[in-house]
Amino acid sequence: MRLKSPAPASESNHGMLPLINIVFLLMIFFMLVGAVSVPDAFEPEPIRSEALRSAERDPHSLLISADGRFALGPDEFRGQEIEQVLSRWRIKNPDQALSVRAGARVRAEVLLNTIEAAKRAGVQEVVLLTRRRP
Amino acid sequence: MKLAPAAPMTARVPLTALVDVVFILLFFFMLASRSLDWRVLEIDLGETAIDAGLQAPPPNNAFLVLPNGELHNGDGQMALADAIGFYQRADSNAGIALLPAPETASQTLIDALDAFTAIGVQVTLTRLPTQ
Repeated sequence: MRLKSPAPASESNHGMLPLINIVFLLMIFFMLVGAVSVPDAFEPEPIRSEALRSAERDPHSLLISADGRFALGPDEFRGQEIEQVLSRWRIKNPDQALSVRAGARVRAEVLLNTIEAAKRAGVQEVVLLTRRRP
Repeated sequence: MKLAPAAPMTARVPLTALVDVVFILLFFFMLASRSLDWRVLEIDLGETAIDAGLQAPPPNNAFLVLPNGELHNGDGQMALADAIGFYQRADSNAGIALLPAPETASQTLIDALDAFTAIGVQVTLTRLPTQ
């Protein structure tokens, strides 16, 4: 019996085309959905809420960590300096709402006192950035 | 003179190099981008408890939020669900004030805020006076 000789391997790269298509789609997805930005000073564990209004991530959010650290975007500062820092921020962003990202375990009293300090510094509107409950 | 026919054009794209570049771009965007779904919670910040004329224990329309998630008002301490029932039985259209106790976590306060706003109650956050 004479066996049929195997077909010669194709030298073309046709087998890679679906792979390239998928990788291109993934790349376009991440380009459109993700926002490339300067990393923040730290990432507090976000508060979860039922809030419905979605928001863009603000690169200059006021960050509060459970261990008492404060930062405005990438710049960390001491808690005593909050009013000066926010006064400078308000001068640069007179019509912008200040978004606060506090850690879930931050004492609520610290959060409210910080919002109060922002109002004393002349910030008109303060919003809390939260993540949606799973 | 007889010219030889032109060789057929074979388009050969160097796919391996292309895939390398695309993979590097893909990793860059995967690692450098953030795609978290953020939600905005507007904070209605009231006066401090003393400025607002609140005394301890707070009156019925003001709840002290305890660290374990229970609430305390003029009628005593109760679970969050009971507090909502209490408010609904009172048949009041007035808003409420939530005061976090000194050791209450932000998440606990926001849980209480969510529960009341879900039934359409206007909630003001109020602070105990700073010692």
